[in-house]
Amino acid sequence: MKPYILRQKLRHGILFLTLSGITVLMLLPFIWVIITSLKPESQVYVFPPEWVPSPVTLENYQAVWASNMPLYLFNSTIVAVGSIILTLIVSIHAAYAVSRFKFRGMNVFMFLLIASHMIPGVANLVPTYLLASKMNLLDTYIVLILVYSMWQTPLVVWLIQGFLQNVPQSLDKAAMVDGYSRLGAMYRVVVPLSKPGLAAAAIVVFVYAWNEFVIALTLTSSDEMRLAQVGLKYYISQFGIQWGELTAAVVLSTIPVLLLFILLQKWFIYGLTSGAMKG
Amino acid sequence: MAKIELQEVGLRYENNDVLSNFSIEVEENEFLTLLGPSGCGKSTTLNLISGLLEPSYGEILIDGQVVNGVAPRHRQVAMVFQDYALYPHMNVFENLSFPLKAQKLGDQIIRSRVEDVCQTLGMAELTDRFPSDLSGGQRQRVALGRALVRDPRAFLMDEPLSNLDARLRVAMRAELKRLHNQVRTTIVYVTHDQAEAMTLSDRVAVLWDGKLQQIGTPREVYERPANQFVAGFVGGLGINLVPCTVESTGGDHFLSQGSFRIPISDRLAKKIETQSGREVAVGIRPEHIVVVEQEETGTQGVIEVLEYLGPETLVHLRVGTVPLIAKAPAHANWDIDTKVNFRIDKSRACIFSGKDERLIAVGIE
Repeated sequence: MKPYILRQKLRHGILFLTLSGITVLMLLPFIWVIITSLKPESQVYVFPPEWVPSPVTLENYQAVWASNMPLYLFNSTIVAVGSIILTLIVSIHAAYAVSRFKFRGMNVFMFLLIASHMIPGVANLVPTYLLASKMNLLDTYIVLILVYSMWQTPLVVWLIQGFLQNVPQSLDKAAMVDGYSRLGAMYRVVVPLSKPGLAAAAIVVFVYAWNEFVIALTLTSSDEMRLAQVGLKYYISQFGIQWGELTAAVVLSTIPVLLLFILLQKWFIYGLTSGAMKG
Repeated sequence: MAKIELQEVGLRYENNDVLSNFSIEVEENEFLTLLGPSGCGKSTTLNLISGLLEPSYGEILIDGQVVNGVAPRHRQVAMVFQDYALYPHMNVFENLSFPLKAQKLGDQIIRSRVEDVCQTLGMAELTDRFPSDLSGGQRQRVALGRALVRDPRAFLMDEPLSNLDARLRVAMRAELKRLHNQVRTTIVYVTHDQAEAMTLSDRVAVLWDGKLQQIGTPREVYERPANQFVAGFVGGLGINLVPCTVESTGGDHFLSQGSFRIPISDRLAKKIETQSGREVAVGIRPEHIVVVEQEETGTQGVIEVLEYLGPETLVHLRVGTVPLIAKAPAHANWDIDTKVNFRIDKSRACIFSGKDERLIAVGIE
């Protein structure tokens, strides 16, 4: 073997090993969660810990399924999906305006938009609570959807406008000459061509809404309105932590996120606009 | 089909006059070309007619109705873009039916109209393809088809052939011409390619720096250019422009610069004097300079460069300090630095004012 090929192979090998190591390290907590969720309660505290649970049991999952956790997951789904829809509707229009029109103070506007996202969420918590209480919106889906959407909109406007800018403006113009209004051109041509950006934005919003804890805890109080993240906390009580059920609930609560990724995967098609132009 | 009028139209953008005091009338069924270098305001004019831009002042009329402030979709004009602007997420059929859907036509009508257009343009087998699967020429065709399918009041075409390679461009040019003869409609066509303008148009409007320089038939624009800019821009090789002074000795008058000297009549000398004083520029097209054999009479020049083009040869001459380009037959073969005589077809030469570069006369007598 020629020395330079050997060197190259060696370099690739080292790189592969390093990256594999890092990957395993990062997945380790999640793997441990899955393993723990399959152990009977008695085995959870065994030392040294056992990597393969024996016997494998689904009793934790059965317990979680019988509790209110499915309802919390349902609530979380409603709130997260609602947040995606509202955020995208608002953001698409704002991002389109930014990507297509030049207006006085645009850069300042865009800066302020992203600056508002830099305010720590907790700082807004008390005013938000008071406002929600005045509007009789406490303990509803709507308040969570509103707050989450408004919180994510600035970020998503920034994210989407980059994608919209990649859609050539002559396509809007062609659609307008072809007989559509500007909004019509936007819905029929620009939005469909920005699907990869919208899919990315949807995931950002979903993950945020799904994982958010403090706002959900503050703005909801009844058991019927509880979200999954808040529900998980109730497995940690003053009498101890129910590790088995907690980990089973955690595993269950990651499923919708995975589903969304799979669902949106076909939208992540690059080069969607190829062929529009002279090429 | 519609008549389009622009009356004293102008557009200011960030304190620049993109277009100023532009007036033009496009007759019904006329093929009018806006010709000019890039940035001269020709695409802007097209966008003003389509409604994608609003003029800062002046009125735009389609069929006698003022359309200022009317949205593009209500102007019933079709536009073909330089980059084609095909919708990449729709196949050819969907692209072609897109403007018809806006008119809320029935599926049957849409299908038959799209099929008709596909027949006309010879792309019936392409309807299921997406733009990314089409060649440049095919995309061009779809872009054209999307305009044709609508039966609009006028077609606006913004350099539709400029992205094609040379051979395809010539083929599509002929096709466009045939199409215009076939469907006989008003077309406003924008190009910077003077060959396209000459071959396609009923009339050519030459623009420069946001202003209309001249409007006329291709022949008028070529043979009687209104000013030096038009003379230089129209015609593939441009025009030889020789700055000259009117000299009078005894009763004879000459246009001269150094050893370059052309006798002129009394009448022409007077005409020049009243319009321009003594300074003029003489414009001579390369094909109007004939290089002749040594023994014949004519003005003498030195051959500096020969450019063999295939069908013809370009001869770069120098007469004293004046450089001239002449066209010679392909078989012409002189040595560099040879002294040759040449004759100028004086009846076709143009004389431009030295003051404002406007045409004073065609033909030197």
